[in-house]
Amino acid sequence: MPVVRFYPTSQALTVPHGMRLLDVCYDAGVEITASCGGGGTCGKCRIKILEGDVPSGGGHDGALSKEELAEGWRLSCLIHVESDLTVDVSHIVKRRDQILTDLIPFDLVPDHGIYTVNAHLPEPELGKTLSDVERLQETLAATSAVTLNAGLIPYAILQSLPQHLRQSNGACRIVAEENRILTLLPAQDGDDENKPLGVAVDIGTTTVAAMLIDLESGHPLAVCSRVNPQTRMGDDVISRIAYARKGTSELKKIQSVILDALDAMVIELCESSGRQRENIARFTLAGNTTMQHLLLGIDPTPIAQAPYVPAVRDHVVLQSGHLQWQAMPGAVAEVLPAISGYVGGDIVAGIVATGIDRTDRNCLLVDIGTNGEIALASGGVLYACSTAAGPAFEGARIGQGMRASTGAISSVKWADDQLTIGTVDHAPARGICGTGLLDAVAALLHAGLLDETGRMLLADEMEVESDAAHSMAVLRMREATEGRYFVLAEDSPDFPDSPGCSEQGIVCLTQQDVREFQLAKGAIAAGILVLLEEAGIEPEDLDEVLLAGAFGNYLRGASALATGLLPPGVSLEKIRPVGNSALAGACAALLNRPVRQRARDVMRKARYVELSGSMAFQMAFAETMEFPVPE
Amino acid sequence: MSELAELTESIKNGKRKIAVKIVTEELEKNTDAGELLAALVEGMDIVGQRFKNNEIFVPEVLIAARAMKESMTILEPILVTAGIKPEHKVVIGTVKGDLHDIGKNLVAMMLKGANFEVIDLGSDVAPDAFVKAAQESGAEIVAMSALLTTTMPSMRETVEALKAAGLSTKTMIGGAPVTRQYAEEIGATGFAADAATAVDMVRDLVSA
Repeated sequence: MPVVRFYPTSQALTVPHGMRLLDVCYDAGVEITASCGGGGTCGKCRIKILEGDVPSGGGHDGALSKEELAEGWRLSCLIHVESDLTVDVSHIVKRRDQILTDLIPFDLVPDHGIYTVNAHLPEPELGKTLSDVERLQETLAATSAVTLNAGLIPYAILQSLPQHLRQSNGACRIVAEENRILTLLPAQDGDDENKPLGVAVDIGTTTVAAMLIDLESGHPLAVCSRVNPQTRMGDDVISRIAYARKGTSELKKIQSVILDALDAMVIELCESSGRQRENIARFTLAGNTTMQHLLLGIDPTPIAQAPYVPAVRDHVVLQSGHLQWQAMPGAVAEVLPAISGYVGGDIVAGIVATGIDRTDRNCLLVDIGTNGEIALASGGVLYACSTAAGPAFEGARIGQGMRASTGAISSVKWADDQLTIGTVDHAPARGICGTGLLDAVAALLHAGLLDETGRMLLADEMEVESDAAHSMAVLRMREATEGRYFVLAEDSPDFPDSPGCSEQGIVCLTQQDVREFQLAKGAIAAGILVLLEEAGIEPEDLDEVLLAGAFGNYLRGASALATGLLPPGVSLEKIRPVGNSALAGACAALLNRPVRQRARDVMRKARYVELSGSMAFQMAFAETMEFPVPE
Repeated sequence: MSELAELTESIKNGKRKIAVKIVTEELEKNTDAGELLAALVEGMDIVGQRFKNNEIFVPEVLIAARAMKESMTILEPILVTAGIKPEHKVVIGTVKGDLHDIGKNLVAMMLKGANFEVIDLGSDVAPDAFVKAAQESGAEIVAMSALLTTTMPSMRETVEALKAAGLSTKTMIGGAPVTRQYAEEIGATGFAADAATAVDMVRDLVSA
């Protein structure tokens, strides 16, 4: 079997003949991006072949230039390994973990109905027909006022109960949830390590985050995140569905990679906090509707075809054993309810976490990912919609776009006639992430290098010009046959050329990038306007604008307003980042039964507004694609 | 600048009031309706080119298309009387299962601007609806759009349904996830990556 070696790590993997190099990279832990889902069009999964023979034909030329092909660059999604290869992946950096833990309701009083009781059962007596289960029920009713439902005792516990009781002379400790026994433990004082645990999970299309929580105190013990391993089956929801609908084995596979990843994450959480998986009593999970379907192994195909109907909207509660997760024998996993095919449990979680389901004020919640999901509370009514913003804010479709990992330009400021660039980890610039893109566009608008239609202006075309802006334009705004581009950083480390940017060693924003940005921000802003119109209020009427998700959390509010990502009329002081509100909501639902009820109320009561095919949306979109004219 | 050049300019810049005013005045002066049409089409052509070159974006194309549309409302009756009508017909629609029609609408507008007769079937259009429209109109081209990879198979079904109905209609496809390779795979005649290219493609197909 062929061997694939990675440079610079020297890692080597023996792989089956014909295995796709992209998958080999994933297996080796190389966090490569494949925006198009391995279709050979986006060019993001490029790697450099150092040794071995990979012909340059067969579609590699679609996304790579002649020079790049000559240098050995290839698309890993198109290579099926037949012989030994050495592959340079030094340009792919590990992403920085961005786990947002603020807003997690640490102060929430646990009300989950899970408790631990000790019991000492009397000796069985000849002539009494009481079984072990009945003696347990009677003892608990008498000593702890607990009513156990015998019909809900997990099979594994029934199997171990007789031996357990006889070895311990009738002493035992149980963990139960309401009237259901979850696990049977040896009688002993409850050490910290044996306290019941809960796991809250946010399954994002790109990033999965999980938190381990002590259910008694409600305090978080550990948190971790990973790239969603389904990314290799497609970057966005639609390409995941396209993969899953190919057949039963594909659906099984896309389910098992996320189940395995969550399993591994739970092991990591337990190890880092010195806990045992056997003490996990409950899992609460939230994701967009498609992620939730894939987690449960339910065919999501109808979500991707009009009228976009999911198989299930309501919460799903199932034995965690069905998902092959190790936990208490009676532990359950709850997947939170969704509002529609494109407004999922993650948004419902965000709604209950921020409490906008209980407010009389006008509150807007915007979660910007590949889809921009928007919820509006107004007059005690909840409205929700989803817009196809595209993955521009996650770095896809942007020539030198990247995630917020080391070297990503994450902030751009134009102040005092100076352009200042900030990068993740203060490393040399390698590309642009979402917040950097937003800032860069805002800076160009501010400097007068971009007109309201989104056209980049050369020095001689500028209408408004301070001398400083003019000299910056002369210096940085350039034009090639592919179009105009603005140089954000020079002397960058060796980074492959990007479409529309023919210079080596620079990070630039191209005219095409600005167009992609206009589409993305226009879709979000138009979605907001349609919801406001539906509620009969104006942007000025909003009391709060809550921004969720990594991009929403780190973006600069002033840039969001300057570019019109948030519609004119919204004022800066009303904008508030709320972190990972989906994870926060999952934690809240894990800890608190009334919150679970609220989530289901949101599902039932929220008014979903369909935007695809909506004339109001199209009209708004045509306007919001342009930039606001500064007053 | 001549009035005709000014008309072209007004379309290019999306100045609908000026465009309508020139068309109205020129018709009063008995300027040839065909020449006015040519000036309008030239304006939209420039718009298409600039769009393709990334110089202008969707909103400006929409504004230009609106100026074109309002001018055509006045000009059309005269063209009909003069016996001047679009030479070619195109049936267009977003395929079954897909409600996204912004891109399709843009293509339809640009085609109208290039003086094609456009039969727009809207969105979520079933294969047999495409077939029926193609049969009834005698259109030379059926153009299909899809925004979702999951609805792309409807394009294949439509292409096959047209063939099964014995129509020699040419087919072209487009939309964000659609590729040239996919067009070849399903036997569609053409593929266009954006609205301006779609117009060029239609021109090529009708003259081929």
